[in-house]
Amino acid sequence: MARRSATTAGMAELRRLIVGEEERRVADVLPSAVALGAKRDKKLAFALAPMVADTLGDVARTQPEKLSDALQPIIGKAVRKAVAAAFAALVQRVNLAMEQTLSIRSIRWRIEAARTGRPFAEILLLHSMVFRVEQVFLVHRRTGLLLSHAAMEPEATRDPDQVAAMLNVIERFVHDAFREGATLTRFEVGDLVGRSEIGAQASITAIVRGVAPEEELGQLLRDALERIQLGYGDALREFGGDTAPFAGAGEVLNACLLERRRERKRSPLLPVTAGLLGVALLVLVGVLVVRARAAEQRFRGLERALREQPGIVITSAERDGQRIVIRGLRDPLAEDPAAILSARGLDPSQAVLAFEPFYSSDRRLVEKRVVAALSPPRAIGLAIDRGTLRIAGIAPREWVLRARLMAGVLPGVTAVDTSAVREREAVDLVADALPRIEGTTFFFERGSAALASVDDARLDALARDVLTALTHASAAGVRVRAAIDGSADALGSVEDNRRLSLARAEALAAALARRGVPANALVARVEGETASVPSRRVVVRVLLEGAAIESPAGGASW
Amino acid sequence: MVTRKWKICLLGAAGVGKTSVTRRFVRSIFSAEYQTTVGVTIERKRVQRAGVEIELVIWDLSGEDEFQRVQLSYLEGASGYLLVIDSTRASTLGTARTLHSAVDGAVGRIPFVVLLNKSDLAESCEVSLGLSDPLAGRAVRVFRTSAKTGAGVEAAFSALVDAIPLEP
Ligand SMILES: Nc1nc2c(ncn2[C@@H]2O[C@H](COP(=O)(O)OP(=O)(O)OP(=O)(O)O)[C@@H](O)[C@H]2O)c(=O)[nH]1
Ligand SMILES: [Mg+2]
Repeated sequence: MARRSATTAGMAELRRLIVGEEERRVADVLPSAVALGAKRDKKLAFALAPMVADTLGDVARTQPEKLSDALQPIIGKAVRKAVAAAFAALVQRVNLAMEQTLSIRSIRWRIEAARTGRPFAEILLLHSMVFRVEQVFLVHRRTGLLLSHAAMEPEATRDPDQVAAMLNVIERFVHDAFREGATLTRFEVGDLVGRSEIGAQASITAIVRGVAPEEELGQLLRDALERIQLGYGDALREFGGDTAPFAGAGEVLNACLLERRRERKRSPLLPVTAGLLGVALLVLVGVLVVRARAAEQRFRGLERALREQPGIVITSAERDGQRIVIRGLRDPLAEDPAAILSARGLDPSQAVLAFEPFYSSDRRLVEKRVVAALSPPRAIGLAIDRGTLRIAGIAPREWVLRARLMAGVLPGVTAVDTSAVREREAVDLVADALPRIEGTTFFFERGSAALASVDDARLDALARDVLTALTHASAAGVRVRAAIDGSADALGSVEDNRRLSLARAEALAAALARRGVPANALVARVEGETASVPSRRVVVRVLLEGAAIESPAGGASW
Repeated sequence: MVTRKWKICLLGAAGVGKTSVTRRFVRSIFSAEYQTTVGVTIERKRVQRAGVEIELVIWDLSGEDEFQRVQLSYLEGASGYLLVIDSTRASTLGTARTLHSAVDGAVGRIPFVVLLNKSDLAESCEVSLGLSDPLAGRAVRVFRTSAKTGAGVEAAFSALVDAIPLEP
């Protein structure tokens, strides 16, 4: 109890001095006196202890936040130091275990490299990256505003202010949803991990790629947050939108942008085992390389086959492991790429075939398109010649008219030539009339070239038939004329008979001309000397130029 | 150059046009399609005020309706807010009044402007606020706005920004 009484005596002395007139002077010397006392021994500290304790008790009762704000940086550090020591041994063991699985992993990476066609070095780099802190946010808790931000690749960072606010929203949501001091310290976004430390006024969040050791990362963030709370405590409490005072915090955040790659350590396995493993690895890699090469060749073959297909344009062909991704353009009438894949022993369901439709101007595709659009009758032949569609053969008039209209608007067709098309109806009419014309015979009185009036009806019929044939000849694709061969009996001189024969033929021609038949379609002739039985008559014969009229032209050519 | 960063909130009944007003202000776009906001959406816009560059971080909160209360804790730390009313639906004025007093209780008196939105639908206008109305009295100003035409939107944000003190 000696200490207690000494304290009481000291306090009495102190009070006497303070209350006395020399108040001001004491106040002046007190700080240096306290400093001096503290330096010499612990007496003064002991003397002040109860007073300080009382004050602290009061503060703890009336302003708990203030106290915890003040103590957090100090207590936090002390407690963690103790815990860290205890954990160190355990962490060491975990690390060791990790390292031993490394060699088995590296085989897996080699397989992955062969499978994906990526260089092994790239895979190694990817996997050997233990972790990387890509961004760090310092967020003011009350307002959710970003105070400071650091990024490994600042140019690739999108709107950190927005992210900061969202982090704050999440924090609030978790707090509101679970109440009682619930905080969110870890979350995942795709292949990134967010790791937060939440302080009284501010929170710090790291965005990490890869797997960071929890202890190390946590420590890093807590240290950073503590430094900020110590350095910017007042600024944080009074923050009203001015971020200028936090300019220096960037330094602290930058220090958190860590990247750790796995060190290349010597294999802990015995040399023999390592050798065996190496041989096995070589064999494995060999097999994989051969298989990969075969797959590559199959893929290239497929690509070539597709490129050769009319109506298919390949814009990109890639292979990612087993998966084939082919993009391009395809005419709706071109071969189905999936069928081409199947035909080459590849599984179309393993492939992505993304083709946009387009109209190919390849002749084969244009032909297909024309056939699909016009559906030509069997007696029609179609051919594309440098953009000109030539149509030949016999078709109904309606089809011909439609084809002439439609063909002009089909992609790949620039002109239509229908000069070789014959209209079915015209052909039928001509074909019907010609046999009735052919061989029509009129007889005459001896020595006369006058047609008998009893023949008037037959003359009318003949004129009608000839006119019909002439009218439709061009649509039927032929040229028709009527030859009128006159002859006489054997009596009289040869010269007289020749004259009479021609006069008879001309008489019929004149009779037909009177009935409207154009003169240039009629040829009056003398029946040849060879006529077996000379007689007094004229015979009408059809002179036909152009395609045969009965048999239709050959079928469609494709 | 002096810079400030302020948190601004949009508050109001569901479907009054908070998101539309925000989009109009931040990106000058409008869509007639209605997609209700879940939780909160954050937008950002930089404005100038007499030589001060101000970064507005805008919290577009989900609207209040019979199924869902506004999360008042989201207003903590806000420098000001826009209280949005659908001028074609009288009931949204009541919601605005309730929200306003709730905010007063939760985070204290901070500057706010009132938006009578959808003013382009004038023929079906149901809501007006007299000068003597207590809500109008407390607000920085009352604006007739249309997210569709853009009328009044810029002015409303600007009046709110002008009413926020540079030093807290
Ligand atoms: N005509 C007209 N329609 C508007 C206007 N503002 C919003 N709308 C329409 O009203 C509907 C709701 O708009 P939102 O902006 O999504 O409303 P909100 O307040 O964000 O709704 P919640 O997020 O559900 O609370 C949408 O269909 C908008 O197109 C306006 O000024 N004029
Ligand atoms: Mg919304």
